[in-house]
Amino acid sequence: MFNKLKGDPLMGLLIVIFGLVFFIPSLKLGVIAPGDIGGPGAGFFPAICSSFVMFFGAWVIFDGLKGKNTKYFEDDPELVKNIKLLFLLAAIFVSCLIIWVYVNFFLAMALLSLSFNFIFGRKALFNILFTIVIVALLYFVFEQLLYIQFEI
Amino acid sequence: MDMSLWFSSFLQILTPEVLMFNVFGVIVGVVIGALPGLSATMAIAILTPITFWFEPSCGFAMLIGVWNSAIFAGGISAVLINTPGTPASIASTFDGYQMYKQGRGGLALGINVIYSAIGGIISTLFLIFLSFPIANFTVTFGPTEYFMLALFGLTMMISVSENNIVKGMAVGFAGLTLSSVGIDPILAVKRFTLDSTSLIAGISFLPVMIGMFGIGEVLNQIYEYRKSQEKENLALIKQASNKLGRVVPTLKEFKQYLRPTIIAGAESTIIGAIPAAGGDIASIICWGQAKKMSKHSDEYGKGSAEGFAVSCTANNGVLGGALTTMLTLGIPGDAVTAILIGSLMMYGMQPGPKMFTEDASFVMQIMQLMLISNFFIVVLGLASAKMSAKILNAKPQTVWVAVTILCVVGSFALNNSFSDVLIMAVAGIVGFIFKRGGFAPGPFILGLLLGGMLESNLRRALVMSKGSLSIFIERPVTCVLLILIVLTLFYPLIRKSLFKKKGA
Repeated sequence: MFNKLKGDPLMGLLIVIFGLVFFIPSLKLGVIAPGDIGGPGAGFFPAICSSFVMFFGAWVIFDGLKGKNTKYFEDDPELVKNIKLLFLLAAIFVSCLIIWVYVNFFLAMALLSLSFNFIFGRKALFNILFTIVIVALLYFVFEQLLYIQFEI
Repeated sequence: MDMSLWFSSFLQILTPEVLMFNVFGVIVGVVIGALPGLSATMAIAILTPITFWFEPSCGFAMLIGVWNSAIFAGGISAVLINTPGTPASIASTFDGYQMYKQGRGGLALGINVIYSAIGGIISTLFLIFLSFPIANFTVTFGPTEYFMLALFGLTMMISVSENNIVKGMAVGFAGLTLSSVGIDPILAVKRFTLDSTSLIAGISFLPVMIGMFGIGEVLNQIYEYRKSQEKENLALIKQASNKLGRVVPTLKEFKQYLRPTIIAGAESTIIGAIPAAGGDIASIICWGQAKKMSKHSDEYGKGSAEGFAVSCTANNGVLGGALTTMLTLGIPGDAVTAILIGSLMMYGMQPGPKMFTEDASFVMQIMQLMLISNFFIVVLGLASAKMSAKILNAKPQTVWVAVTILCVVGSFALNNSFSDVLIMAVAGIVGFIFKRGGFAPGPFILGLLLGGMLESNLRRALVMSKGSLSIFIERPVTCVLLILIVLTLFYPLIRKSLFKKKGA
């Protein structure tokens, strides 16, 4: 059973859980409006929508188990390598967001640009020039011209 | 039509500032549209938050410029490397690439510029003449009609579900469910806010769009990128920059293509007005139709300049139609118009009939900006037709880094909110998984955008009728919309049975 839980059945299960996360609190919010107002309550619309989410999520599971499963990620070694690359990029992205919050936005974006370009195998000179241009663009256009304050 | 208002609106956008933003938008659109994999939707999603810092006319001048030129520029890569830059240019590959192989690449690029602009102008003229009567008709709409309109918009979830309706519906309802986060529209009760102040106003629509169409696309491109094919692609692009020949068609050629392209312009405008029927569908239908009517139908698909002109006219011809639906009814026909609705709402305007009375001047400015954008497309497009081939030299890695940084800045700039950046990042991952699993993001976005309109009008109508559902069939407009909804829902089944009968 658990072996089959990949691809669409797994995605379908996540969709059903998503629906459930909204459905249960919706019932607590009230499907009928209180007092003299009449009509549906605050939980009416999300309850209906989340029931449909669960219904179609279950359908996705059923279709997947029946054999219409989609292969989300190929076994090709080149593409498997790319998944590792995506995880690495995601880790850098999160680190840069942390640097933004605790240190400085422009430093975070410069590090993001330098590290991404380095990982993508760009030449050092291009990497440095690109980073200078993009950080200068962010500083002069967004902070100086548009007055966007990036400090959090 | 109030001519003085038209004239004063025109004077308001005829300022160096607005024109500069429009030209900038056209240039950005050409770059993004010409690069395969980067769509007009992505460009507009990333740029929209930035436009809120400008005057509405400047911001919209840029967005309209990007939209029009990105669609036309999709034809550049279709001609040069047989890969449409945007889905709307699919039909451009039929004849455009063949023309290039026959040594008429320059002429193909010229036709792409001229006839895309002609398509855009024809559809804008339809927009100008038809939208005001439609808006006058819809001005009396109440909650029941608006509910039905939103429901009609939602039935398009099926059409934009691409190949899998069940998956489309699942994510579409997920979008609707998410739209209920925040304050309840009638009872003002907090819903699913997790006691977070940033969720009280609901889940912001634009960070989700930026994430799904920007980061999601970048992640997918990184995943699918094969280093082994890099050399092959480079060779193809270098070859494309070789001899292109003359660019501008002769007067005789121009006259020859005039009739089929005017028909294509009108047809594509009507197709564009139907929600979810985009430029790809329009250009294929118009190309097929023109082939049937042409004296040179045997040349179609083999490098016919006429066939190519028709497909170019059609891909930009849908824009005026899509704007007609968006401005008069307030429902989005595709992802781009969904973002444009979002940005109008951010400016404090509500697309729909009321906008034609409350913000008539701005409606006129949008229409005039459409015409001006097409003028700039012709001028800049013809001047840089041969140079535009160089855009294809941009390495995808450069684009990925630039888009990632712009997505971060764009989502933050919207409300100076770091939580919007986090929402954008999560939406990016979700968008990537959607792409891998064949879940179209379109229905999710439609659900998220139309959820508020659907719920508030449904509940207002039910409060008015004291809970009776009969209110939805008592008014003629709601009845007509209900019939349309039923027809739309059952159309795939009807079409399937018709095909079966034909096959038998």
